[in-house]
This record gives sequence, structure tokens and C-alpha cells, in this order.
Amino acid sequence: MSKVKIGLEIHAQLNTNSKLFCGCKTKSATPNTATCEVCLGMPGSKPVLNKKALDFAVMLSLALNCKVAKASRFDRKTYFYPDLPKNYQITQYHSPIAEDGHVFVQSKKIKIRRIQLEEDPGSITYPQHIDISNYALVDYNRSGYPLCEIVTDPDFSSSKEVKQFLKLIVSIVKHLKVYTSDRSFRVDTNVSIGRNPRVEIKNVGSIKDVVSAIEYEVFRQKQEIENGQRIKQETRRFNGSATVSMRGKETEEEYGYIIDPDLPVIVISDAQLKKIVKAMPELPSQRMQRMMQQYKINKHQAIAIVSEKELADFYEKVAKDTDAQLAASWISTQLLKVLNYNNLFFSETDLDVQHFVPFLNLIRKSKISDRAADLLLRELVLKPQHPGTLADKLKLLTLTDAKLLELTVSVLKKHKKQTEQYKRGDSKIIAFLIGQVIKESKGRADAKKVKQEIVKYLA
Amino acid sequence: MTYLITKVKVSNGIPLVVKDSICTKGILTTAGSKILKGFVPTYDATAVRLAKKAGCKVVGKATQDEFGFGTFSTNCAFGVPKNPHDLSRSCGGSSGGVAGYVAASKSDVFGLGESTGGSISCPASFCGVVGLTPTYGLVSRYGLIDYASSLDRIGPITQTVEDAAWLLSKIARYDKQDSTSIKKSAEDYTLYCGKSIKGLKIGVPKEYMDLATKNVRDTVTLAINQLEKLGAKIVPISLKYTDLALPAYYIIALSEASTNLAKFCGMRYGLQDKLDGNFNTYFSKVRSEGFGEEAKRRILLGTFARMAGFQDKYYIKALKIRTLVIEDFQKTFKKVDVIAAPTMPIVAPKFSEIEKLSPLDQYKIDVLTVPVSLAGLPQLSVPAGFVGKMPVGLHLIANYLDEGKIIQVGDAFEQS
Repeated sequence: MSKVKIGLEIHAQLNTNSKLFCGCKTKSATPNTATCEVCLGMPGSKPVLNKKALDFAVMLSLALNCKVAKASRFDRKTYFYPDLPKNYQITQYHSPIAEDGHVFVQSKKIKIRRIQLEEDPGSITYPQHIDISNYALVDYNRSGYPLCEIVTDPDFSSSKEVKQFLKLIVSIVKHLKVYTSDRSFRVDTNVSIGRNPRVEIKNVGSIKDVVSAIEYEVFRQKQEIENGQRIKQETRRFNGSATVSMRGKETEEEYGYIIDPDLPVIVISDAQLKKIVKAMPELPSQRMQRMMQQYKINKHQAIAIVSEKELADFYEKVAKDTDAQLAASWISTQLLKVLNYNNLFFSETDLDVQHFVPFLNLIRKSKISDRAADLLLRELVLKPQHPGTLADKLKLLTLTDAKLLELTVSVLKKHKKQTEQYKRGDSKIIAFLIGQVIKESKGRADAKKVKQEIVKYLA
Repeated sequence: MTYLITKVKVSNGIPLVVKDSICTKGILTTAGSKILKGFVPTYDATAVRLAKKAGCKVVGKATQDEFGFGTFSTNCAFGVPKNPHDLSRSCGGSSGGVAGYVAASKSDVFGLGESTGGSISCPASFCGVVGLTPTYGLVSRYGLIDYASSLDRIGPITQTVEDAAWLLSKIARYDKQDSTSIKKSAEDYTLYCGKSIKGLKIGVPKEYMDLATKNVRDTVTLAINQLEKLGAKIVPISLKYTDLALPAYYIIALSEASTNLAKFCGMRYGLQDKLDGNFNTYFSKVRSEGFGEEAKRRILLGTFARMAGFQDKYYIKALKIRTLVIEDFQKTFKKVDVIAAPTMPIVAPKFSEIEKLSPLDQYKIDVLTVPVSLAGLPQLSVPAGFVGKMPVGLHLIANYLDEGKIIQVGDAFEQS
């Protein structure tokens, strides 16, 4: 089978207080109240660039190792749609803010083709399903929200790579504070197989859906090819379980791009660039290095922890209150495993320091075996609560010495033959006996301690 | 007389007539188009706000070619203005209503016009009044209904040069609501009135004189002789990109116009129709009804010129020619202070003559005003004399922000 090629266009709403070209606030509000003559495209109104949005875009460009243009411009992309007040979108086509960057996802280099600023259109709601609604409602509150578009080369070959990349991008934009979870994050995905035409899946609103959409689309295209069908160049949308055709692919030509004459050339001086670099918050890669030194954890653990900003924040809080290395070990392996298994991001759980520190302390004080702790964590992630109480309820806590002795004695009595063997000097058989005790304890006995008890009892 | 679309009753203050494409708070503003029927802005254009602050009262909104699309004010949805010097002739366009009103007025009145390719100079010349088009960006465009944003300029149309200088002094301010506004401190341009022009170097471009009809050329030549008598040094010059400027201007202006006019679709303001079918059907219906023939022609031409397959050939090439035109003027202003030429190649034509002109013939009549418009240089049209009973305009052009120099020359000529 030919190679799968995937490219992305990410649209992240920037975390500015006001819109890209006017002073309207970017807080959620009653429909059509956060608007003015500019974002409603009223005759005579003119756009004025929000400097904060520009700074944010430049910051992101630098974080993604792009070349920031000394001079860039806005263009008009003309198409008629009710959510687009001017019937053209102010975007960047001829000369974007930045070009030619890259990031590494697990040692694979992903090229960033360009980064551009543009305005979001308004939003449309339908009273029923789009196909049967006889009217639509337009809300222009979103009109003019600043979007930063990140365009990659088609460097991905699987949904797994895309997922890791998108997680990294989200981690970066959150670290830079140019984006927060309450803003929208939409992805257009181009998928092609071998030399077949590419298919674009438009406007998918979450990382998980992007992953599902790609998985579906790759499967669909492979099937079509196997069945001898030709792949059409088209635009599709993802309905939550499958991609469905929207329209034949419009070529760029039809937008009739021209320079937006209402907005002058954006000039970014070296001095401005320096100022932005200086004001730049810690990036995930920098944070990783710092954490390795500060908490004496290894690179593998640090990479796993910074993959989500919320997770890294969580780790650093936990590390302050308990054994930092133990925390790193548990977070980078078992916790991520549980999250992955449940298809959850850390930010989607309510797991908190108040749960996790006592959890680690149970392990530290040998009140729980590793295996039992693993079981406990699975429960905690889904339903965070006090770990001690839960462990007790689930009978996961390590047995007290008296109970352990009692259990050991009963196991030895039950397995007389093996006990005799041991007594005769067959020291290897002790492993069997230890295993039996642990089994009987349902994982609540610690192997080392059981061994001590057996040796002592039979001495 | 049909100079005004909307008349406003005011008791005192300096009367100001405003081109209808400039937004006026609470007063109907249509830009001369049916598609903006009923549109009453909730804001004043910055230029109007500043003029009001200086004591002006808006007495009316003047008729114009729809969105500024015309040279004769014959493409008007709300009345064609007639030239006060001869009612069978045009006022010129597109600020024809303003110029006609100012020319016909027996008492003092100020006008605010707007020019994209010569729409202040042309009607000023045809109606025998003063038209001052300032450096691009000197007067804020905020509140101006766009024709072509990189060319549009608001400026005074008045009875005297000093009046124009006064009004410009009041409306030329940096405005943070217009990203193309120039950051420059306020200046009193009336101080340039009454000054000698002795020693000023005035260039006369051969190409411009050659393009004018003989009668107009003779009148302008007399005016230039008069400037020499006043002490100016006349220098023959050549502006070699004059012929290329015209197509470049129309390509740029119409490309921009076709996007600027996209917003008019009967959805949020202006003309509306019964809602049925999908949005595409509805938008097309409203736009077909609301736009006049010339607007449709220009939208189509502009849309064509910016399509990807043709963009390099037209839009991008036109931008390059624009740079050449600007460089040509810059070279010239190393040698001279002011350029003097005929404003229009002809006097105001009869309506019956205009009817016979093809759209292309009409566009060609802008040949003298479009190069300077492409460059965004300040220009002043002052009455130079008459051919029969029809006025002829003398066009004075200066380098960026040198409004003072053309006011100085124009005022000295007017006073002589």
C-alpha cells in the first residue's frame, strides 16, 4: 500500500481581550451584542490591527522556529457567506507573518510552512439539522476574533503522529499564554494516499476528533483504492463518526485575493522582535530541561510530563509536596497509561494534588503494593477522591504485620508438601510459597515482607 | 436643482454640503446607490466630525455617481446634477453634486468631496470652483464608504482657495480609526495664502498639455503665463508613464472596489427584499436590483482582474506600474516645486454628448487626474478661465504633504 500523507491547517483563537481589528471584547456574550460597526462590516468602517494579536502570532512563530517576516501584509479573501459581514475575510495570503519553521515530534521533523493572522467569521446556528432547517440564525459576536493559522507540510504518516504533534502545539500555545482552553481550536486536515488526490477534512474542533477523522478517512481511501475506485479531490466534514462529502474542492483562484488596502504593511523591527523574545514565557522544551535539573528526573519522564501544560503544572505542584522522582515515575508511566486507556487528556480529569500526593505517600510508606497502587490509580483518575479511604474500601492496602503473619501461617499449612520441601533445604521453593501468600492477599502483601515472615516462621 | 439627495434644515453655523458617500450620523447616507436605500449611519465620518467641531453644519448630502463610479455624475441613483453654467451640461464626477451646489450657491458654502481618480478635481474644474485633494492619508477615511481604499481621499470643494485651505486645516488630523492615516501635527494652511510665489519652480508636463483640447490648452497656457508674471519659474517637464497610468488605475481601483462592494447584500442594512431561496439566491437578487449598470460593470471588471489566473497579468502588473508612476513624480519633484497642467482635457460636456461615449471613452477622460491619484499626491484645481461660458480648471500638483505650496500658488493665481 502506498504511503499515507497528512498535512494540517490549525486555526487557534488567540487569547486577546479584544478582537483583531476593533475594540470589541472577546468574552462570550448574548448573541450580537459584542459587535461594532467594524466587525459588522458597516459602510465606512475601517479595520485597525490589534497589536497584542500581532505580538502573540510573532511569539508563536518564534516558538515554532519560523522565520518572522520583516514586512508582511493582510489580504482580502472574497467569498459570499452570511456569517462573513464584509463578504471578504481579512487574512494573509501573499505575505504571512512567518514562514519556514519546524518542530520535532519524537525525533521526527515536522515542517511548518507558514503562520498567519486572520479574522474569524461570525457563527451560524440552525434550529434543526442543517438539511431540514428552514431558517438559520447568525451571531456576529465571533466575527473578528483573532485566529492564528499554522500550516504544516504534509509530513505526517499516521494519526498517532498527528495526535502527538497537536498535543505539542496545544502545550506550546498554552505555555505561551496565547491560547486558553475556552477558545476554539479548529483543524483542517489534508489526507492523501500515494499519488492520489488529496481530500480535505474541514473544521474539526478537537484533537480526538481529528484523530478519529483521519483514521476513518485513511480507512475509507484505502477501501476505495482496493475496490478500484478513483479518489476525488474534495472537501469533507467529520460528523463525529465518519467523514462525509461537502463539495468538490474549490481552487484558491476563486477567492480573488488582493492586498487589503485598508491596512498598511506590518513592519517588525529587530528591536520589537527582541522585546517579544524577552517577554516570551517558558516553552515546553525549556521547561523540560529545567525540570530535569530541578527535580533530577530523566529526559523520557520530562518529555512525557510537558506533553500537556496542565500535566506539567500538576507535576510541579505534586513535586513540591512529595518525592519528585517518585512522582515523575508514576506520572510519566502509569498515569499516562491510564489516561491513554480511557482516551482522556489530563486536563479532562479532576485529578488534583490533594488526591495525588496522599496517593504517592501510600506508596512511599509501603502502605500499598505497586500492583495495588496501579489498580487504585485507575479508579482515582475516573473518580478522584481521597486515595486512603478508597484503597481501604477496595481492600487494596498492604496487610498489617499481624494479618500478614496469620495469612502466611495459613498458606504454609495449606501447602504442607512445599513447606516440607523448603524445610529439607530446597530454598528455591520459597518463591512458590511467596506467590501463594500474595495471591491469597489479593495483592495486598509485599513480597519482601512475605519472604521475611516465611523465613522467620520456619526457622 | 437636483444637487442634494438629502436636505437638512439648520439655523446657524457654516453651511457644509457633504458628498453622500461620507457617513453622517443620523442623516441618510447612500453613496448615490439604491442598494444603500434607507441607510442611516450611527456615526459621523471623522472628517465630518472635525468639520462640525470647527463650526460647520451639514446642510445636505450631495448626489454623486454611484459609489464614485463616473466622470460626469450621470450614474446617479438619486438625481443627476446639472452644471450651473449651462444646464444642458454635466457637473463632472463623481463629486458632481457638491461642486454644482457650491458653484450655484449665492452665499458662502463649504463642500466636502471625495476623490478616487480625480473626483474632486474634475467637478471643480467643470463647475468653476476650487477642489483640493490632499495627500493620501492626510484626512481620515474613517466613515467614508469605500470605492478603492488605497486611492480614496476626502477633500474640500469651495468657492475660494482660502476657504479650501481653512477647511483642510480643520479636517487634516491623525485618526487612529483609519490605519492609513498619517501621523502629522495639525497645520494652518491659510497661512500659505497671500504669499508671493516669486522663485517657485513650476513644471509643465508636455504630455498633459498635449492631451488637452486646444481651447483648454490655450486657457491653461494663459494661466501659466500669469504664474510666470507673478514671479514663478516655468520649467518644461516630461511625465513618461502618463499613458500607462490609466489602465493601471482602473485595474487597481476596480479590483479594490469589487471587494469593497461585496458587503452590500441586503442583509444588515440598506436595500432588502423578500426572503426566499438560499442566501446565494437572495444576495444575487438584492445586488441585481440595487446596483446600477456602471457599478455592475466595475464589479465584474474588478473581479475578473483579481482572479488567480489573471492576477499576475492585471492586478500585480498594475501595482508595478503604480510604483513606476510614483517614482516618476518623485524624480520630477527633485526639479520643481509644483506641477501645473489642465485639470481636465475638456470643458464640461453636454449630456447629449456623454450619451454617445462608450464606457472606455468615458474612462479615458480621466487621463490627467489618474496618475496623480495613483501616486496619492496633493492636487488643487482652481478656475483658470473660460471657454465660452464654460469654466476651465488649472491643476496644481505638489509632493507629499506639500499642500502649502499648491495653496500658495493657487491663491496667488486666484488673487491676480
